Parts: sequence; C-alpha cells; structure tokens
Amino acid sequence: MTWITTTAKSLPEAIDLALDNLGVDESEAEIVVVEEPKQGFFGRAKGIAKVEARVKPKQVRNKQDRKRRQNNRPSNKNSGLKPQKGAKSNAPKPASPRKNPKQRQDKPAADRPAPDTPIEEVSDFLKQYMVGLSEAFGIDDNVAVKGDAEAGLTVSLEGQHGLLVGQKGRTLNAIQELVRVSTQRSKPSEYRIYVDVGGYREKRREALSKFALDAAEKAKAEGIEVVLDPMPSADRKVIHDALNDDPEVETRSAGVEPRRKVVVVPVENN
Amino acid sequence: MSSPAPTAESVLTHLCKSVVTEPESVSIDVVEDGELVRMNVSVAPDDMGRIIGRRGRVASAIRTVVNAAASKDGVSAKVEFVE
Repeated sequence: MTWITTTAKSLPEAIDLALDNLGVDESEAEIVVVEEPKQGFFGRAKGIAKVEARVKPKQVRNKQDRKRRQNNRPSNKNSGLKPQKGAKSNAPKPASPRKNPKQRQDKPAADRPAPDTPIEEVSDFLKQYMVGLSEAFGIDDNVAVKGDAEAGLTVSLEGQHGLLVGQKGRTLNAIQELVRVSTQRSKPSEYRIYVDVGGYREKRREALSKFALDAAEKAKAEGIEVVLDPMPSADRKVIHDALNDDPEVETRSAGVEPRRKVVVVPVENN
Repeated sequence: MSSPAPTAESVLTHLCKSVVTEPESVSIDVVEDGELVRMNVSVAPDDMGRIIGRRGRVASAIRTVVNAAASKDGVSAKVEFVE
C-alpha cells in the first residue's frame, strides 16, 4: 500500500485529510506524524501539521518491517515497506528511513505527490474535472475557476442547472465532496476547494441568513428555543454568523452528524 | 449508446475514474432490473477503500450524484461497489 502525505493547519485536520484520502478509519491506517505545528502565544499555532499515512497491510508485518519506523539508519534494502511473506527474519536493524521519500520504492514516486501542488495545476484539475462532469451530464456550459490561495478555489458552472444542485443543495454538496477527494488524491494541496453552480452558494447563503433572522425573531418574541432543521456544517456556519451580532440570541449546534442542527436560544435580559 | 441509463453511466464512470489511483481498472456492469438499473462498479483492490471512503462518504456521494444523472435518463439507478 502506498504512503501518502498530507498537511493542514492542525494535526487532527491533517490526520482527517489523510484518512479521507485513504478512505479508511483511523483503526485501519498507519499514521506517522512528520511535523507538528508549534504552539505560539495565545494558543495560536505556528507552522503546519504534516502526516504520512497508509492503509495497514493485512498481513502481520515481520520484525524487520516493524522496526522500520524506529530506525533512521539508511539501508540497502529499499523495499523494506513490503512485508515479505513468511520471512520471519530476526535481522536486528534494517529499515528504510521513512522520512526520506526517496527510500520508499514500493510504488513509483508519481503516486505520492507532495501536498504542495502549484495553484495553477490544482485549478486546471478542477476545471477538467467539472468539464468532464458536465459533459457526462450532457450539459454544455462554461466552467470557471476563481479564487486564490487565501480564499480557496471555487470551480463553477455559470448557468442554472437544478439537476446538479438538488434538494437543499444535496447533489451540489456531493459533487463538492467528490471533487475535494479526487483533487486531494491527484493534486494534493492545502487550498480549500468549493464547487458552485449558477451562483447557488450565494443565494443559499442569503436565504439561510434570512431564515436565521426569522428564527431569532421567533425565539425572542416567544421566549423559546428554536430548533432548526438538520443541515451540513457549512450551512450551520452561515446561521451562526448571521446571528453572531445579535446580543439577544445565542446559537449552538446540537445532535450528531449528519443530523446536527442549530438551536437559537433567546438570551435572558434581566 | 444502448445503455438504459447513458447519463448515469457516463457520470458514474467519470466520478469513479477521478477518485481512484488506477482508473484503467474501473469497470461498470449495467444490468436492467425492471424499473431499476443496477450498476455494479469494480475497481482495483487497492482502490476499494478509496471509492467507499470513510464511513462510506465517497460511495454515498457517488450515489447521490448518479441518482441525479439517472433522473435525466428517466430511471432509478442502484450503484453497488463489488470486489
């Protein structure tokens, strides 16, 4: 199994990304922390988190292999990653140092790109992905990629295509999820990636904000907690943000994904 | 194409090939079953985890998008990932 490298702002995020990438749960993966962000002042982390991970091989690895990680001595045996069947070797200190990617020869290097793909390449990949998808759907429309390293990249179809948006954006969110996973696998980078169709994201944000204000009015007028419908985290954030400035209500999330929902709570003012 | 669900099939192909590391090993078997079009996807063994995803997230996203495509074909699609 191939080792992959992911980076993120925090360790849990980097691990999450790696697990998403491999498509397995933490229990099935082997994770090596390469770099951890240092704690700066006021809890601000400096630097990035970097992990290397792979799917745990099903066979029990031999001793040689298990020692691999504790040992940084270079070795002439560069295929040390593949457990050799039946090789119950007691060889004392073999191991290829994992931190040197050149030593990992179990798959061609091209399979393990570093997570620093240039933004243009990520952008091209997004464009190709969306062009391919819209062609598959039989849709003829312009695909645009906008954004930068700071804001993240948004790949969008210009026209209105309700089929690609789905109820409450469900199809669009599924597409976004797949675009993210595919991009992370072939063009790994730290850029945030979004998918939009016909300006749906902005319209959704407006509708949600309005909805949030209505819920806040109701909570205040009736003095009750208003529980909203379950929605994805991006949508919940819009709600929290929309009511952030209102001192008369507080918002919190309750429940477990994918049925997590926002609760709008009136603040007692006496 | 004589597929009972040409849109769903080409969308499924695109999604699967983009997410695996061995796109040439992706094959899709389409079987008509009354109102339902069954699509059985097989991928390289190493890609099985990738196509299913953690807690089935990738597989369920693929099903969501393929269902939308299938509605354009006027059918219901059922996507299964087989070894």
